[in-house]
Amino acid sequence: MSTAGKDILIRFKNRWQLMRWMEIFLYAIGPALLIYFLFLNLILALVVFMLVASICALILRPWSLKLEDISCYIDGKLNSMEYSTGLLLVPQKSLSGLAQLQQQKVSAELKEKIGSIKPKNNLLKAGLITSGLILFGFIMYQFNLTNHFRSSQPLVEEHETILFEPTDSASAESDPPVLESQELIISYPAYTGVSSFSTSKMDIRAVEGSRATWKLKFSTKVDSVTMESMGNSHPMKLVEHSYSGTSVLNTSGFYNFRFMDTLGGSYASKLYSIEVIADKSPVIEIDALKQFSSFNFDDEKRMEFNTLITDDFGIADAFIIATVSKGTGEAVKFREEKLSFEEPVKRGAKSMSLSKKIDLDQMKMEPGDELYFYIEARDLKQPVDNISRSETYFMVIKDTVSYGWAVESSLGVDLMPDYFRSQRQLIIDTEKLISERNKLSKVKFNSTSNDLGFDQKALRLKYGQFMGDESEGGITAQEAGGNEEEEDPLAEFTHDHDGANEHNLVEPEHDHEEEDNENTKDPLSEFLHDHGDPESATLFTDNLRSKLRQALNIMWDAELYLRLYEPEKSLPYQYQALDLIQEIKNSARIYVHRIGFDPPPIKEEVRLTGKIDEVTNFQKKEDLQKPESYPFIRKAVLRLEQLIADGFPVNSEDRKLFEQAGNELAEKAIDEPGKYLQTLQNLKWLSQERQNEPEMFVDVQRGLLLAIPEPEPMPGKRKNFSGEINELFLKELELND
Amino acid sequence: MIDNFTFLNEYLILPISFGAAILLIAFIWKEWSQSGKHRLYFKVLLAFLAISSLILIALKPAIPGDKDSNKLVLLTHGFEKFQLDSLKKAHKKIKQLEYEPGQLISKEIRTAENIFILGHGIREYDLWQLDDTPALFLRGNLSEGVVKLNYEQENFVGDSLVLKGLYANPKSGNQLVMQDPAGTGLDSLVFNTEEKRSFRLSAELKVEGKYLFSLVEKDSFGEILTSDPVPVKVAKKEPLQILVINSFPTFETRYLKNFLAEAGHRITVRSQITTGRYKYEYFNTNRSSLGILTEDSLEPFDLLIIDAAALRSLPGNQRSAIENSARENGLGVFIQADDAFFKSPGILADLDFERITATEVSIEQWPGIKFPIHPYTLKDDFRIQSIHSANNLISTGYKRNGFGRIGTTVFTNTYQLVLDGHTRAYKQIWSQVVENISRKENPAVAWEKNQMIAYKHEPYDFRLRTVLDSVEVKNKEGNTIPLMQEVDFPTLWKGTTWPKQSGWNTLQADTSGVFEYYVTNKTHWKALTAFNTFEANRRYFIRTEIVGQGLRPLEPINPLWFFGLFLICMGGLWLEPKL
Repeated sequence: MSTAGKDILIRFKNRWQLMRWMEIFLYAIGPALLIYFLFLNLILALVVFMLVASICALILRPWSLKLEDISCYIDGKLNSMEYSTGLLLVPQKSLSGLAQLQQQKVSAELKEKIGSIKPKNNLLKAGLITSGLILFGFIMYQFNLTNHFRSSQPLVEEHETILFEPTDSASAESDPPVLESQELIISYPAYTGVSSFSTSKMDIRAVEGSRATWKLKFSTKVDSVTMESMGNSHPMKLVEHSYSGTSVLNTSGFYNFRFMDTLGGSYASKLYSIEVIADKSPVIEIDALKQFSSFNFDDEKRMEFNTLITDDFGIADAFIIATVSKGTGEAVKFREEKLSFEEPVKRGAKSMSLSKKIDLDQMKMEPGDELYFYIEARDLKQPVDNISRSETYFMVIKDTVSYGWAVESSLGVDLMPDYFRSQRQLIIDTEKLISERNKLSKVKFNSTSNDLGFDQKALRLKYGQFMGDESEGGITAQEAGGNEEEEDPLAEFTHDHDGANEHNLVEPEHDHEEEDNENTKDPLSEFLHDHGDPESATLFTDNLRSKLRQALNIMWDAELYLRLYEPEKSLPYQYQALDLIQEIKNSARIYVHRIGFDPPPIKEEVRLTGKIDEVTNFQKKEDLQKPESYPFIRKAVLRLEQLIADGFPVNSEDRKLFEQAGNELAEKAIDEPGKYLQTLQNLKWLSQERQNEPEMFVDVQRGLLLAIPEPEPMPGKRKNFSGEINELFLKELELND
Repeated sequence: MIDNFTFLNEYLILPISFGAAILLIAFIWKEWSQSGKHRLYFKVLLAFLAISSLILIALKPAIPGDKDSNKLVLLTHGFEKFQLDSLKKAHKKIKQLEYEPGQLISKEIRTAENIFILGHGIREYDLWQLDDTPALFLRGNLSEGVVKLNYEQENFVGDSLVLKGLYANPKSGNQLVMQDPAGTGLDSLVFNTEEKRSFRLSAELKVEGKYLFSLVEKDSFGEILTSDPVPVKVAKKEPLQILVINSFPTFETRYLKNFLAEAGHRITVRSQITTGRYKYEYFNTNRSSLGILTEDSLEPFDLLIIDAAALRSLPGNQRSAIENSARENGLGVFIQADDAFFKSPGILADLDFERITATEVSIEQWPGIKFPIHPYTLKDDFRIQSIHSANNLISTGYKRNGFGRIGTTVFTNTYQLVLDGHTRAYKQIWSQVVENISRKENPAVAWEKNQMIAYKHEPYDFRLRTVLDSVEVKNKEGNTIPLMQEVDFPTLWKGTTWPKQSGWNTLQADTSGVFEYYVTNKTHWKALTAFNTFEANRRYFIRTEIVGQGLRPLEPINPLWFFGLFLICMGGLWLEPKL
């Protein structure tokens, strides 16, 4: 009896489990259908179904339902069970008599009442949700609101598919072979390190030297497949049921496919473009390096810089080419060296940061030598690599000997010995002395200042020579004098001149005195007064003379303060002197008149009377006429106008014309494919035997008209009717003029 | 009253009266023997009446109509409703007639006392019908559109197609675009708020052939409102035969001859090397001997380019050969001037120069380019034709000399333009010079068109000039078109044709010369046609007013009256024996 009760419980449990499974199914089917309506994608819908179903199953766990749970549930629902359903699960033998009675009672009761209770479930809720989702999806689908979700993927694929159109109208009626698959494999050259990739898109954009392989597979047997490119056709080979062809891409251009079906019908695809990208040369960037840098002899002559070299497919090598030049003028010598960077160059790297330290001493450079260098980088391109080089940088060790003596050079006569310090050097030394004042002992300071004073004096005397000043026994004597002055540096100057401040006041007088003496001795006078133009020469000299005199006077003051150990006060004078010397340098250039050539007069009476027996008439015949540009395009434009106006069908002559026009246009289209590709494509169709729409004529005509260049101006024969009246009129005009 | 009584079929009076008399006599003779006299009279009366009504039915008697009904309003295209309404208010019984172009209206208007014409008017070719009629033109307003148009229909490759015209009542923001045959916009303008807008659109013609350009009006959104055809014929320029004579080779000539030779002209160059020795160059042409210049040897050439020194050194007979060739055969002579020529240009041409200070000019057409010149300018004489001028100073010009043209320029060293990169300007100035001065081809038949637009099934007037004594013109269908020779100008002939097909039509003069014109349909160039009609009417109605004759139109009496009378008489005759 109890087995019967247990059976009831088991059946109840099965029912419950079934209901849960139903619930899971309902929860899963709703979203799945919604997804299917939105994307019309069965696989996606199945995935969603599985996903939702497994999640729900995990939550509801229908398999974990136990009989004990059932009995508890029934106890809760049916009062008449008297909480004794559990007894039904216990074997009869292990129960007491009373319990057996109760078990039988409950069993009978259960059999009667079991129909009145239902397992706990959410079927209704699940059903509602599911039907809601399905309804929503269906409405979306019905009102085409779902296109948004679907448009992306499949449409592009369709666009990329090669469409073959019959080239003659006859074959359009038969069932054409269908392209089953298309594949384009582009292998970049090995050196690029780019692995080959395949695509279904037929427009090619690849680096120069790449290899393109096409594979086309047709549904039915076709007779032959060719690839046509720029007027040539390359047959494709049948390999494993698909036609394949391969080509190395060297120039940009266009291509299309054509196949013949077994019935002899010909089909052509639209034109696809080949765009060949050139491998770029490496790019060299140098950080923080001045184009021109110079070093003093005693500086640390080192240079350090970083460079960044980048290339699109990898760098093969990079190095520095340095040239050292020694000497000047005709004696210049060059020495070239190839330097490598501090770091080794990684072959094949796309970007490299390299650094280099250049020590000029190591380069065995001496003052006055110059170093030019640039960086050269090569990439991996085969067969000929791209080479690029940086700008050239200059490094110079200053030559102290020849530096700054501009006055002499512009005067053209080298009057000065090498051991003079220039005014500029004096200024530098004075500034250095001032800055080092604290570090130096007073004695040392004064002595240096005095030395500078001597140098200043020597310079003044040197310039004084130009003015014809007495040189007091020349420089050597002064050197001796200089030594004396070390003991009493002030004495001589205070005697010679009454003081720096007064000096400027007495200057004019001083000038006159000196000028009087010097006129005969001035070494410049030989040069300056020799010109045939005395007026300008005099003016010129006076100007120069007064400036030089002024400069000498200022040098006096500069020297005075140096001798007084007051280099700060001396500096402004030194600067003034420098400015004046600079001006003199500029104005002291010597100009030479240009002398023209006066040919001897021609005797008119003997002109053209020479013997001309050996001179003969000369005849020459040439055809210079340039052929008209784009003759077929022009003819095609005219023919299209007639076709548009009269609506005649295209005949075979026209087709030939369009083909020739297409060839002309193709040359032009290589440069601007975007502009002419469509026209070229349409011309291709027009040159095939097929029906064409009138709109296409207009499109092609428009494209062709654009392709014809602006006509060059050229004269031509005009027509002008001239009748009796005109003649009379012209005669009257002439008579009455 | 009886004065105005007329028979419309007056010519039938005699035979009908005769027939009626016989009929009546036959009846009286038939009845004579019968019955009493009283009845006989009655019967005879009835028979007379019946026969009379038959006569009247046949003769159609008419009497003058009502007084107001002899006024007529003629409604032409574009009439204003309010004008018609006020006319109707003033004249209650005014008659109304809608005019269709080409319609014969003289019958209706012959009797009218006053004719009012509303709208744009009667088409020009129908106006003759209004001669000697008391018509009054009450003009309507002009609609919007192109009302004036002018352009050269026959052009050469490289010419500019220049479309000039006037647009009436433009709508602000709309665009007027000139399009090439394929519909590419070439030139355009945008209208502002103005009553009339004159326009000038231009484009270079690239390809030879017959093309249909179009003038399109678009609204501000680019929607096409109207599109009217602009038929254009483009011919290839024909090469010239040019002779160049130089006393010594110059760069100027070298560049010029290269330019002309590359453009395909046939050039012969003779430049002196030394006394009696010459260098002959033949470009695109065959060798020919050029010893002494005679009229015969100059005959094949269209243009002679000669430098002033060479011209001076020519013996007198050769110089007069050049002059005669110019005068009689139309040879163009271009003199490459030098300083001496500017001072005394007397040889060959009576060109006068004035000295100026400038050594450069700039010409409007090429802004930014300075043309080096000799410091002279051509004196502005009334016979001088200017080719290039700037600020009223003529740089290049020519004078007519008989059929020919003799010209020169003050430009010097123009080849430097090429060196400076202004190749196009160089080519343009020399193209203009060569084209203007060289010999013009004198066609046997020259066609002129009066109308810019030809419409299908409408008369198209054309004129042609020819020196031939008689000329026959056939249309596309091969029918001869009668021509009328102008009395005063025997070389001018006029004719009118009625094109039957739209598109390109041809007129063929018997010997040479095919004239091609484009025929469009009535939907195009409406405003232009309306304006032309309007103007023609305005001109036509500036005439002395014609007073109407006051004739009232005759209105036939309704024949039903006579038929009724006839039936009554017949009824009486039938009923009488029964009584």
